[in-house]
Amino acid sequence: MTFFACENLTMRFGGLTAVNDFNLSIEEGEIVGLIGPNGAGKTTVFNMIAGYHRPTGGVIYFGGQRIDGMKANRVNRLGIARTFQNIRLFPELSVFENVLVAHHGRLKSSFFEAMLRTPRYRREEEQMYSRAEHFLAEVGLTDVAHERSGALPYGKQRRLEIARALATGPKLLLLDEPAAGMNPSETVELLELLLRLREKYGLSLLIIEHDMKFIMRICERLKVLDYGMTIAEGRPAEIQNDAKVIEAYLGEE
Amino acid sequence: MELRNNRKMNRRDRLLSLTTTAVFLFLLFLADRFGSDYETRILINCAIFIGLAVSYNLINGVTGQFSLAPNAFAAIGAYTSALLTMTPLEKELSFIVKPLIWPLSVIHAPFIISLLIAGLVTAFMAFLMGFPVFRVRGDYLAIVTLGFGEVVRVVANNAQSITNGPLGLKGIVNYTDMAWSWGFAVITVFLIYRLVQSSYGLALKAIRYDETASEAVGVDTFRHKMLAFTVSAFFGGVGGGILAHFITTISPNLFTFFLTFNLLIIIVIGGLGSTTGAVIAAFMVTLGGELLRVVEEPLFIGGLHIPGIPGMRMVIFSLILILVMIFARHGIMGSQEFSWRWAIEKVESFRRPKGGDA
Repeated sequence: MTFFACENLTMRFGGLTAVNDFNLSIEEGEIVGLIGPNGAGKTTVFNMIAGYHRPTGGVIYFGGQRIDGMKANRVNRLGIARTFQNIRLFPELSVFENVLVAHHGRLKSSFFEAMLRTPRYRREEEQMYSRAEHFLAEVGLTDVAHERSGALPYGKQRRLEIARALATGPKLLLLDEPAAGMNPSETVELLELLLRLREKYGLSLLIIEHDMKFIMRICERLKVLDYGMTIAEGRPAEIQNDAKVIEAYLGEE
Repeated sequence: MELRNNRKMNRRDRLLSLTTTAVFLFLLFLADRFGSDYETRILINCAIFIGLAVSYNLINGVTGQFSLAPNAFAAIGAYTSALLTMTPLEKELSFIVKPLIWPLSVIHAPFIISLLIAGLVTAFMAFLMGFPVFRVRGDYLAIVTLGFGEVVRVVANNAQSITNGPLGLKGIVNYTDMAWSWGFAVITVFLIYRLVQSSYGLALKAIRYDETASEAVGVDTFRHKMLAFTVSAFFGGVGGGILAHFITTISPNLFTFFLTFNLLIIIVIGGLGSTTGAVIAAFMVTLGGELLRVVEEPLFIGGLHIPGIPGMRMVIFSLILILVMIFARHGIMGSQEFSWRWAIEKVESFRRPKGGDA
């Protein structure tokens, strides 16, 4: 059984083909990078996988079932979590609450039980608190737990978004430009964090990133998109010397 | 460090809440016992508005879905419960243009049952409304719900064999007293506050701040908006029933957009999303509205005679509203809730001299 696979994925917006015939399979525990110039269709691929766009054509398999066209919240509960290119936290909620809410999708108690605080709800709530405390500690944000998340500095917001995604209990994590706007030392910290989390939770990662040093170091395999088409695929070292990739990034000679 | 402690009520908080509620209810009991008829009527009105505002705040403030349909909910609840508590004879005498349709014409239920049925019927109507309403967002949602409010009013005006048309229902028994109205207010506030503090409340707030991100963390936004809408409608419907048995005469004109507008003012002044704020503002608006009656009576200020100007209190009221919007844009409470921890810290910071070592 394939862990995750896209087959012939296509997305058209009116006359514009944003993604054309995209194929990708990911093994359990693998880290795959998705790169390409701006407007290549990388985020569109993410949106299709995560349930924000219904693909015009093609299928997506995850854990033995088709997930293309499913709503985002269902995709998440099946085990695919994502972060966003321009961080999307709940700015008015505290850092702690941002992670707490990520547990809500797996809550079994009905709102009625929550209102009456039945023993089952209280048990689930305890679990929710422990998990949130755990994941905040995991990304090192325990000391700012009660601050308004919108007031955090940029790098910490990025880490909080990862903690929140992690708290939904994913098997596959989609990261949309996680290192954007980070300074070199923060980028190194992020790299170490992601590798540690992958090890600890048995995650697979699919990463979009423009920071080439970062993506070359973290990924085992890369996929290069340009104008919605896959132009290259392979190990980082191979990609670096691929003529088509260099052309897409730097233009023709 | 146990992070959760900041969100949980401890023993002390619970004890303080219980004591305050008990003291408050005792004061109400005294008011009921020794207050004039006029004063108790104001207090009952106040309780009804607290219940309606807090339930409206659940969908409009907490979940951030700008619904303009609370008048529809109150209307459905009021008509349902009134039709259930009126005796078959009263109904036969009231419906002079067209007789009331069959099952309704013979049903007769006690007050409490009629309130629960009113709540359930209203919640069910909201559930049906929810499907078209939550296909749209923001301004469009406001317009669609506004439309529903009007539809309900127009139906009430024209479905004569159910609602008695523009004549309305008269001679509804005056069941609503201090105990019923404040019982309704306290239970509504308690249950909605519990819901908002729970995991569900967090999910609703998440929807308010970012729907896309809520979906990304596994929150079914449609289901949760529907949930907030239906729960809000349930309490709104019960509130409508309480209202009907308080004023004893209901007609479609009672449930115009003006009712929605009043509730909207309350939750905006209180701070959208804050249950505490909605309670405080409901108090201020209903009591304030009465106190301001002074300005409509002839006045003598320093030998100057000012004749009473009818409607003057609405002018002053609007001025207050404008001032609130200028100087306290987020209302009295913002989206915060009252907590004992916060109150105790405030008191202690007052007692401690500034700059001293803490």
